[in-house]
Parts: sequence; C-alpha cells; structure tokens
Amino acid sequence: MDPDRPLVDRTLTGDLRAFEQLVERHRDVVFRVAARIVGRDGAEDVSQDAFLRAFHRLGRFRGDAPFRSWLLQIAHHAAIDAVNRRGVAVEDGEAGEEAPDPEATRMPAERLERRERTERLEAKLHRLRPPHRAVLVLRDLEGLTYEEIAAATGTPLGTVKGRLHRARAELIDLLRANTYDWELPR
Amino acid sequence: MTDADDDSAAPAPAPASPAAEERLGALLGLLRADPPVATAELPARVLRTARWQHAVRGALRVSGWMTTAAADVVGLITKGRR
Repeated sequence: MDPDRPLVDRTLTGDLRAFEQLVERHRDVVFRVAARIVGRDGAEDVSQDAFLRAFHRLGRFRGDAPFRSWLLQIAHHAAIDAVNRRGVAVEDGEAGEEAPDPEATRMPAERLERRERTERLEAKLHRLRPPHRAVLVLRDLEGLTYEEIAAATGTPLGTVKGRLHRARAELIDLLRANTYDWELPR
Repeated sequence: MTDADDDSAAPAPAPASPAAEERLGALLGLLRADPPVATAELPARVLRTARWQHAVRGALRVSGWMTTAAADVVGLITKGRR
C-alpha cells in the first residue's frame, strides 16, 4: 500500500496537519526536480506552486500510482510552466563561471574545485531544452523508471527513451565544446 | 509547442559512445552528490497559503450555497404569485 495514502485521506477530510506531513516528506524531491529544471533561484516558488496544485487537486488523486509519482507529475508540469512563462531559460555557464564567489576563498581547494565543477555542470544542464532536461533529471538524477517518467511527463514511453538519448548526447556535445576538460572519451 | 515539434526542431546529435555515456554518468554523480536543498521555511510557506486558500474556497462554497438557496426561495415565491 502507498505509505502516503492515509495522509492523503486525512487531508481530504480537511486535516491540514496531514498535508503538512506530506509536504515535509516530499519537499526535497520536489525541490530538487524544480531546481534542476528551472534553476535554484525559481525552485522555491515552483515547489510551492506544485504543492498547492496538488492540495487543490487531491480529490482527483485516484491512487493508481503512488502519491509520489502523482506529485512529481504536478511538479514537472509546474516547472515546465515556469520555464515557458519566462521564456526558455538558457543560462550559459561560461559567463557565470567567471563570477567571483566571496565564500570560495574560505573553502579547501578540493571542495572548491568540486563545487566549481558542479556549478559548471549545472549550467550546461540548463542549456538543454526543458523537455529533454526534465527527462534527464528524472532518470539520471532522480532514478525514476521509464514508466514513471512517462507518467510524470505525460509522454509515451518511446518519446521518453528518445529524449533521454538525445539529452545525454546533447549534454556530452555541450561539455566537449567547453574550455574546461571533462575528460570525455570519443 | 507540441512534443513532435520539440523533438524534430533540431538536428539529432551524433550518438555518444558507450564510454562517453559512462563518463557522463560519473559526472552526473557530482550533481547527485550535491543536491539543491529547499529552505526550512518551504513547508510553512506552503501551509500558510494552503490554509487561506482553503478558507477562501470554503467561504465561496458557503456563499454559493446561500446564493442558490436565495434564488430558489425567490423562484418559489414568484411561482406562487403566478
């Protein structure tokens, strides 16, 4: 049985404490997906939007799939809507990578390098088209199955696999075009 | 934009070698190891908004019932006079 089902049922009777527990339980995954799709700056608003959409549509949750999958579907749509509202966000990491970080001077060298690589990689990820980025995030970062991704994105299984294949190839191309050496074999 | 448009808009990139995909997987591990984290205030923000929206919806529902009931009463009165 879906461990969230009792909390969903209690929320439907008007128990907002139960909904609070659902938010606490899933806030990390919703925020991570939102942040990977819209960027860290807009992720808090998108997460809030996703939870509120879920709250108001909870009566339509049939329970065929786990609540988590249903919530991720809503979070995915909220993130894509946010990207579409502000135009396709293409953050070119090259400029951002140059920005000095005052905190950086206090970090050990190894941690600093790891953080720099992570930020560069995130910037490249954000250059993928949103539907491709979303599939890559859900599969390679969140570990969802193809079927779960198909349900979350509302696309056929074949499209999910095609987008994932293209997203990986595009990201590899983007990383190869970078001045930074990502040690990607041919 | 449809899914079909999206997927056919750009030429397909050259297929990546298995070694390159494996390396990409390792690089993405950097992102998995350093996930973005929501602020501690997020649940409170969500709950605050959910509470007032829930209250507004409840009030609108009640006013809707009252309006419907008033309309029914007026309808019965005018029907009785005819």
